[in-house]
Amino acid sequence: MDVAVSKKKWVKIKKYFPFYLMMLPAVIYLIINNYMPLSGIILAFEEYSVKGGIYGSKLVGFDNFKYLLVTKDAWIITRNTILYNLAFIILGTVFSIFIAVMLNEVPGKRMKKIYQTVTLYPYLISIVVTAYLVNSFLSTETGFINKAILGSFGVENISWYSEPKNWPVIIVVVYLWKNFGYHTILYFSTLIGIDRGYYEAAALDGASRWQQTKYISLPFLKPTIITLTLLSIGRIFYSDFGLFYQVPMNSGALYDVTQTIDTYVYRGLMQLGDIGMSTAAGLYQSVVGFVLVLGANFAVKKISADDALF
Amino acid sequence: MKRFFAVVLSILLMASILTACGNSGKTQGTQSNGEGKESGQGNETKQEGEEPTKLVMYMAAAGNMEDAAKVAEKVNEYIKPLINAEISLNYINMGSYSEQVGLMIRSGEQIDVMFSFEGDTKNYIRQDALTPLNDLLEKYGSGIVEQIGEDNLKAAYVNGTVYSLPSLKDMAISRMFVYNKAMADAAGADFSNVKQINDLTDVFAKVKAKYTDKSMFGGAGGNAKNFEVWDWDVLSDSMGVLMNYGDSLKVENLYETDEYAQLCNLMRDWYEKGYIEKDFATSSETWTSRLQAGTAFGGITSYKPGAVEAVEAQTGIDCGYVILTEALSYTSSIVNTNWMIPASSVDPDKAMQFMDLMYTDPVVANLLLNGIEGTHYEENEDGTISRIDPDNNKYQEYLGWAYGNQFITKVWEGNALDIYEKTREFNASSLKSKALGFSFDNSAVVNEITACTNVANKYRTALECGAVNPEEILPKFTADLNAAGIEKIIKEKQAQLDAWAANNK
Repeated sequence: MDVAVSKKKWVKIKKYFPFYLMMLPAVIYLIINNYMPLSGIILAFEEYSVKGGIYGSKLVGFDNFKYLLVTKDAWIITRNTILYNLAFIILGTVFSIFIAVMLNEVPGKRMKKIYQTVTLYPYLISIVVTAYLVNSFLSTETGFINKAILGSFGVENISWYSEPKNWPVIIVVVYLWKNFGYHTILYFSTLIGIDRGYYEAAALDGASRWQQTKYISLPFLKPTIITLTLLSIGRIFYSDFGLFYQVPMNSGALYDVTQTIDTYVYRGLMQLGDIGMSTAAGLYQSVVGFVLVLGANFAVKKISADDALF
Repeated sequence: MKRFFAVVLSILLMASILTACGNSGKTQGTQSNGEGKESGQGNETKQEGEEPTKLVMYMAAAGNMEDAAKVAEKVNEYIKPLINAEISLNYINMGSYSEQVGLMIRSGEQIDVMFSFEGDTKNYIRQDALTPLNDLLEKYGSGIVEQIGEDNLKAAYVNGTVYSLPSLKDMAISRMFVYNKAMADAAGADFSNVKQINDLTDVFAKVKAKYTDKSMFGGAGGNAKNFEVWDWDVLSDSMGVLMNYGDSLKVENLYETDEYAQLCNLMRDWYEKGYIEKDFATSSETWTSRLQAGTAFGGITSYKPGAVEAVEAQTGIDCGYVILTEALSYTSSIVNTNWMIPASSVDPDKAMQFMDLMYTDPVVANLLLNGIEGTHYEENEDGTISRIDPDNNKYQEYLGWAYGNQFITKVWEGNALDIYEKTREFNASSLKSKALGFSFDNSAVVNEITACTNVANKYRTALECGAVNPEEILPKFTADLNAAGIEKIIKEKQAQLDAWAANNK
């Protein structure tokens, strides 16, 4: 039997040989670009010296990881990174789907195009520009909120950049404002791929708009939602550096609520320039992300096997 | 900035491949100038027809440096007969200099002569990226030693080895308040009683009464940490300092001293009285641009001969000044900008010979700092020089003070001709910290330093510009520092300092 199987396999390989050949350049590229550099992970376990180089420096075990775990800040940065990302994933998904469904309902091609562009626009703005847009709202002396809104109601000015309590909301709002357009486009592209026949049939049977959305649009969106969410979960231990560094204007008073793992490592290692320690942080983030993706995928598989990524 | 690690990591990993390629290139390089190397090590006489060694130099810049290659050509014409070497001049903008050069150094790219700031230099030393200069200095550096001065050079030694040469500039730090003279006169402000920073409060009260919409104190330096340097010896990183002009060898926690608390209280007072802008902590505007725009009365900067004139030239405002702290020399004030030969140099001997010229030969120094006479600058009748066509000048090195030896170059217009002698006098007459020459090796406490740096970043800015109440925040700051292990750093520093003091009696 073994012989038969291997023979069958061989025939198959022969049959598809040209395709394997076509795949070769891409595979080589992938190996050179994505897999060979992986050996550099060894840096995370080394006390890097220029003379020793990447593979010849002194090995120090897990020493480089210590600074991420031993300090009092470890808890704060982990909490901030994960909670913000969870908020982003949940609120971002709901908000983007909502907009995508609305967009799908807009009659007329022209208007659709206009709305599509308008929603995507914030995503294309550089984070530094975004930071100053936010600043024009929040600046203590010249900001729109203090001057025009609080001022006209006679409420006392708020020193936004030194009061941490408002920032969890501000960060989430800025994130949604900046990123919803991009995700909306992804969901929207799935929606326009749905056969209009379903909607027509539903309408004939007297289904309301809401029922159409609930029983046609959302089920079709499910695979996209799961894929995007799984990808986000894989990056749950990373944070949007610009959002947490630039938007709060690097204000120290806000660190308790804006410090994430990326900004912490950046701020701490700017002075030391230690390659081993920064590689360690990157590796730590990837490993946690990898485990979470596997876990989430496993959970999805249990619930509905068809939608799992792998 | 976004996804900082992804970028750093990928660059690093790419670099691992590139170094592999780079190494093969390097072997070729050494083959071609192998002869040059031997003769350079053996004796200094040059042989006819020998290929000149190609050196690569990196320096920070703050202006348009398009003509660097042309200047390099002139330099090469001059140095080829002297040391049989050619130099390529590379300038990187000051803002990204540390980052870019750091990556090159760590990936082993060829650099032969290089400028760097103190913090980076320490990292390079820890990572074994520099060539020790002791022997080279003995061979080629007598001129350099004479120019820098043996006492100052001592500050550059780390455990008996010297890796970097300080640039010749103002090597002591004295802080002063520079203000808009017209405003002071109009408000009738009297600075005669101002001896220290507290005394400024009364002056500000008077000026503020007349100019109610202006801020009085526009800041001190580039970022919002107003007391990054003051009248203490920072001992390289401010985590454990010597107070009172470094007059004792007892390492103290700066943030727990009364003096620091008083400074924070003063800033809070100024902030509440409106002398400091409310958004100061998050603004990136420098005090000179505030002075120029007329939104601030003045700011704090370091005094040195010609410093006030420089502010006037930059802002176009007639300025007065009052000195707040006495001039103090300490290790960091001397080695905060320095020059080195990275380990990746193809020929450290030639690199050292070039540095020797840079520090001692006025022709080389003038070319590097000021450009080509007739193209980039012209000499005036009184002996000073002025920039030709300042707006379109293609060689604007504004960091002349960071270059090896500014003292042997021509003086820019608007300065006294004896400005460099005055600067030397200023350096010589300054107070000296007791730990002058001591250099802290932080490798045993890197985790604590990372943690404490984060804590300091969190609190210092807000405290030092009065945005928060020190009575409430300062105790939190010191508590967090203790939790982050500042005691361990101080203990380590004290032990190293004691050992150093015992060896240098």
